[in-house]
Amino acid sequence: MDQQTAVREQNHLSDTLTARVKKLARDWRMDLVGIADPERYHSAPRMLRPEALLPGARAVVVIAIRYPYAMFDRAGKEPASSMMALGQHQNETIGYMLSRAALKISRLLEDEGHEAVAIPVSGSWRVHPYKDIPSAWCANFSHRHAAAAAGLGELGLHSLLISPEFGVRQRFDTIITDAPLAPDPMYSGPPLCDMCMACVEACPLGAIDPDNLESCTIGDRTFKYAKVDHWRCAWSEQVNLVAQEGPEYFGQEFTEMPPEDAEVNDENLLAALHRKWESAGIEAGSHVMGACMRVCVPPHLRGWRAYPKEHLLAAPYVQ
Amino acid sequence: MESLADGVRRVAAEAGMDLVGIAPNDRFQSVHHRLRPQAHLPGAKATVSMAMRYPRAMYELAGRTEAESYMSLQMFDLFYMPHNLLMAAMDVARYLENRGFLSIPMQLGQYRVRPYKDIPTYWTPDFDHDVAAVAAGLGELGVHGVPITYEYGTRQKFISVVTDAPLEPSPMYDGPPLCDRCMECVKQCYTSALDGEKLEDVRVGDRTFAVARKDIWRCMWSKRFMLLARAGPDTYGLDVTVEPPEGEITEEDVQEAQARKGREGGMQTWYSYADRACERACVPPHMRNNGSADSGQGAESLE
Repeated sequence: MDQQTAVREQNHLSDTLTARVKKLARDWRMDLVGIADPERYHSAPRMLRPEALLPGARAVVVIAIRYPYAMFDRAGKEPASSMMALGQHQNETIGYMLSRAALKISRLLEDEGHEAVAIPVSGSWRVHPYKDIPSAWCANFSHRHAAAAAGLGELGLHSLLISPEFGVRQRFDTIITDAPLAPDPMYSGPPLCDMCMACVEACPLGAIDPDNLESCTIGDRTFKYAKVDHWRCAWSEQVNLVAQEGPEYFGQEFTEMPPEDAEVNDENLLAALHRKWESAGIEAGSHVMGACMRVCVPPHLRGWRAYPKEHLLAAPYVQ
Repeated sequence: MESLADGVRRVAAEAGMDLVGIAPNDRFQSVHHRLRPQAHLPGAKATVSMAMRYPRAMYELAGRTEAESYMSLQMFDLFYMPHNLLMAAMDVARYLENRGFLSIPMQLGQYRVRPYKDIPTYWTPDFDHDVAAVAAGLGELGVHGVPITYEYGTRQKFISVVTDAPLEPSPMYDGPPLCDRCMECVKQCYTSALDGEKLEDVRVGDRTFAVARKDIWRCMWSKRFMLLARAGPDTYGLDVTVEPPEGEITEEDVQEAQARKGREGGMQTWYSYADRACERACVPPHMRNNGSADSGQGAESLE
């Protein structure tokens, strides 16, 4: 076999496997799937690159499942005034479904003789900067950056991934593999964040600083997003200390705001959490939905009352 | 061509559901206005109620054989069956949303512990799957307030999806009575949480069911907080029992009892399970041929 034939054959096999991976994702309820070339991570901290988790990584498969529109939209609204469905499905069901699909894809790749590392929904963090990772509250891999690298959308001012199909209303898993899958192009459609500032204004913690923009280069694109104070965000998002962001819908009224003139740190966050535990009584469920997620609707979807139907079934990867 | 309702039934069956029914809004008249389908989704037209049965031997034999173990039932009841139900609800909601209808998969097992706004009750979920199941024609409410189905008695767990899809409603159940007020549930309750002398009418659709008044804190004392060793924790080697106080139980009573259990029970308090005696004692009349629910009849309905 000459070299050209070998390359052609390899490409054919890759394309076939790429198609099978995407079909499998779809079969297991994934609404979006994209593939990134690890080369697009050239500017990422060394420990957060795909090859840090899988030496020899050649592709990053990113899958996403949408939130049911009404479940997201109706959360907390009168008269049910409940965030229970959103909380449970966001924290449990969507994670199960993503993990199930990620395992199916990993097993397919392994069955075809490749290595694959599935990374579940982020739920565990390095709270402090670690070695060459400069950020606080950082998971072992960033699904939202991976999604941008896989062409699924753009990072908005809040630094969350906005997809053209669902805005911020989806969650991601990633599968890193040494299989030579065909990468998708980076997103190049109309801007998905027009810096409307709704996320900045809605955040009750003041965690998003629009005057302090950070640059993030992925592949050939550079995203600019606001510096997010992850400790201030965690004050509500991780430990539920602000009733209006969710706990009040469970009848939990304890609220303590973070100090305005000092940084949030282990000490003052844990002290506030203990005060909550002491006063809260028995709890049987609670959830927080960050205001930044709640208010973000990309320009082309403003005024929506449901997901556009063509976004549900007509994604280009459907086989 | 497959109807929307038949599509829902097919998707639910593919997701492992054993029973599926569809309830129209007007059968929820006894439910607090904040817990009704339209409170969650303005424009709601139907609720899909689905159930997954417990594996028969696992349910019936838990804690009753030489193994003296509830561990399999514990894990299925608290984790794997809820996972399956939640994913099935998501599948049905996605199926309907893909066809242009707003749909909310409801939650399982979360409560507002205290009264909330104009909801006066304690331990209130945001939606009543039990009433939804009966409204969807899957069975009847027993004296214990739990749905009894013809197929499995009380041996299933329910979940619901609220939707604005105009799904054809299922008829209400009209087979042989599933509760003959044998009062075994009242007699067997570990904490006397059910008052068999005070039966209250609960109206669902055009049917009325007599349900015993339940002291929910007394029920939770064992079911959720597992404070009675004899209800199951003793099979884990956890011998700490805190009897409920006479009269009204308060949140503080439960917290105090929990603290004591934690002090005396050590690590084993993390791993435990309590039987729901009212449900386990319940065998509908047509299934009493062998002293427990006859899943053979239910299995036929799966074919």
